[in-house]
Amino acid sequence: MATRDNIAHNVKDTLESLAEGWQELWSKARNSITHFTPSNDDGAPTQRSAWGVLSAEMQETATAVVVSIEAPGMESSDFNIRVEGNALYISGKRSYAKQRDQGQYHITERAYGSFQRTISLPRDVDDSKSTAKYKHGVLEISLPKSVSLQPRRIAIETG
Amino acid sequence: MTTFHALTDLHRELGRVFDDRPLYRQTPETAETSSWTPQVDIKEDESGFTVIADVPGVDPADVDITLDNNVLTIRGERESETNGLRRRERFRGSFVRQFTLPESVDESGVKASATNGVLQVTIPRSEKAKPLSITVEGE
Repeated sequence: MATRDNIAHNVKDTLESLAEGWQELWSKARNSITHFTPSNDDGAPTQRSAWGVLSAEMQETATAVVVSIEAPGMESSDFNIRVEGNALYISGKRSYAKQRDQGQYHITERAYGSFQRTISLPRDVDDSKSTAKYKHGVLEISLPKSVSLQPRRIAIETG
Repeated sequence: MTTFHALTDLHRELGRVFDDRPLYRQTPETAETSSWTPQVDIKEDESGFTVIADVPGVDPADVDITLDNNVLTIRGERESETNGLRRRERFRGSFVRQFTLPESVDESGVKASATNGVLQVTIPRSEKAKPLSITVEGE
């Protein structure tokens, strides 16, 4: 039957594009999938989802490596940022108790708890001169490259 | 974009099969215009409904919220500057999410605020829908 062939063909197509789409999504997002550990004293029901997405971006300029990471619903003081060797560690805690109160929840997609993300840096950076800012739920960390790695302009002496 | 559409079509089909969440609404419009989806919590209490959405990197001025025939629509856009990136995990562009609310809400009382990339929309119940407590009078 032609119809059955059609159906089989469509199913095969759908599965192939599903696999392809999933691969694409996975390759883009797998590093950003972060485990959130709920703490017992925070009032969060234990059964709730503890996986969240902390999407990061890294941009390299002539003088700095800039990392931005999406972490909504935090306060600047909730972050702990440190550099060790070529690794940037960002940890924090999104408090359940601070943001939620009594009521019946119909949808709960947002993750709460402690998290940590490690991002490997492509260059040596001077972490003593690093700065961070937090705006609209995005944390942006600017790490100046070590001076020896910055492009140097060499002046030509005139005779 | 065809892979994305195949995924959203599948998602929609599954949503229809497991349609046990009356507040959740996926329409062809939302599927085709969203390049990413904010995560939300939806809470109901005596005073009404609260929708809390994670919208990191979105300027509150770029968010548009409408309530029409009990359908709450949140749409917005994230800036799309992506030059010189070594690592790229963030999704850019526009988003739309829609939720169907019960008829008992007060459309004129909707309020929204945004702090640190979290959008909070409160929709009060209409006066007549609030739970009444009736005191039994003694003789």
